[in-house]
Amino acid sequence: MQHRLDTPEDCKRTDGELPEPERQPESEAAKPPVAQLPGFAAQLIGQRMRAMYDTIAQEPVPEDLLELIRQLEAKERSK
Amino acid sequence: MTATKSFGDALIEAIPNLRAFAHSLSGDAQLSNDLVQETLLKAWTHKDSFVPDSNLKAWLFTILRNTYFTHYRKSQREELDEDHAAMNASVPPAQLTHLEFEDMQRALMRLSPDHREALLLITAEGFSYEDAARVCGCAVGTMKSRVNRARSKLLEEMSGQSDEGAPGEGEEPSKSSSGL
Repeated sequence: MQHRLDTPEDCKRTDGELPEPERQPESEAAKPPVAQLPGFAAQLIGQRMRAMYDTIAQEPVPEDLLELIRQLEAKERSK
Repeated sequence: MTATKSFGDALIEAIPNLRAFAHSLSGDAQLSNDLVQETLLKAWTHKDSFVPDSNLKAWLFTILRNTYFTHYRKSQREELDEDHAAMNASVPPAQLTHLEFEDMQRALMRLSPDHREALLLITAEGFSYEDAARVCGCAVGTMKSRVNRARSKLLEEMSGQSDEGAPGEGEEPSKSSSGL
């Protein structure tokens, strides 16, 4: 696991608000419309997705991630 | 965030969801931890730019997805293994059998990255279409279209009807262009 401390554009907003959408649909607009799935099919996919997602979310948080935050907080306190 | 909760506490609280999103998006347990670590570091480094009581979760998700797509573009040049997801899946879930979990993850990884993240944000993470569109830097209509297409494609994959083999359908993942 590497600690990258570069300064990407990813975090440079100053107001904490979400960015305005700038990119307009390109390939999506060119595609033919897709018919809505029947409700039960969308529901099934949703259930499966959430089950998979919740399983990962419920895994114990790796100690090194918690340690990272502790170290950052300790470093800040020591300033 | 409340006055009693530190920024670090808020980050720790967000880690489970960040890991779930990163793992589902990348299909790789180890990579997902690296992505989350990088996200936490970036968020900490730029925490002064975050306004308390605004949407920290969406801010963190935006950093994470941009970090992932940066990695994705690099890894595309090295040709991602098609079965990356299945090989790197984490511990089988309690709610789904191991096979169901792998099938779901494999099907998810065969969606384009744009469609995969749309489905994850809306269906699994519960973002509104508006917030998800902001995270991804696209229009709300595009987000709705992506979710609809992703559902259809996923249903095809899960029922074995798809004849398209390559993950991503050759689409280039997008990056929020306005900062986050």
